[in-house]
Amino acid sequence: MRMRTTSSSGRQASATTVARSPLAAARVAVVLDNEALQAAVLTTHPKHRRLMEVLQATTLRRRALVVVPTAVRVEAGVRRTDPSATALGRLGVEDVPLTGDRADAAVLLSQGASVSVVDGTVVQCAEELAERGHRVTVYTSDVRDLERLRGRTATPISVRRV
Amino acid sequence: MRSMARTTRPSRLLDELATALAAAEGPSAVTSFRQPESLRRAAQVAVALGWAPTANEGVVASLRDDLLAFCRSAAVELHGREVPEARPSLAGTALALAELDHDPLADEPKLIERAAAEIVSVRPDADADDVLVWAASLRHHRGA
Repeated sequence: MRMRTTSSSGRQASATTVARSPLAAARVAVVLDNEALQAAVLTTHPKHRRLMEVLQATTLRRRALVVVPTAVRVEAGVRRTDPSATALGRLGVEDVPLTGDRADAAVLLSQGASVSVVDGTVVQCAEELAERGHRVTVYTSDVRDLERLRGRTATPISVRRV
Repeated sequence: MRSMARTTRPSRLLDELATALAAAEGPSAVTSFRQPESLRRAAQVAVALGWAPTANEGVVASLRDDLLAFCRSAAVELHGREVPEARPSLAGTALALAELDHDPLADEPKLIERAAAEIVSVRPDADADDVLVWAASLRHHRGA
């Protein structure tokens, strides 16, 4: 995922994108949690069609991002080199690497919340995107835990059941 | 378990497109891309209005965004042909769109289903945005 701006927590990402106008920055972003990722990749998953509908909907919004934190890929056991995962590239699903700064932010976010490490990285990713002006929706099967973490952020993130 | 991986020619081309897009931050090349003079002028004016730092950056970013959307849309369409049960429904896409927009209609799936069923009778080529407008109208009249 291409990052440009500095978040409110002071994290500075790489400077690889062109500058965005304020209007252009207001775009849609989707963050996939474990089951959402599996549903996107596996045609036999009961929520596969639901994920196709989400991806289809993103094509109706200009510059819509669809991302997956790399920790989620580890938990879901999805390798991009696997034949089953080639669809991720076609569908424009981008990785958000777990950098040191993001790990620190995820730790802060999830401290004392009794949630999984991966949940922390998912909400941290969503928070980072929201801070950059994206309208963020997280798709998960674990709405309760993610809602709890979302309550710890000051950003307008939506959490939806996959 | 079945995966989305396919080795048909269109899917190979889509993979090639996706790979090229993923590497789009690499070296640049000067091309002889022809554009209408009026469009070139429009881009210059748009830059003055804040569209992008330069016309070149704006064109490159717009082209990348367009190709990404095209690639995703084509991938979903191709997959729907290969696996018909995975083809997105109009109501389901409209519900997802409401979710992405953080529209309160996202909490009214039945209303969206009704709107999707009704709108195609008057507009067979309706898309998810049209469904949401119809659903908003239904909601408005329900409350009136």
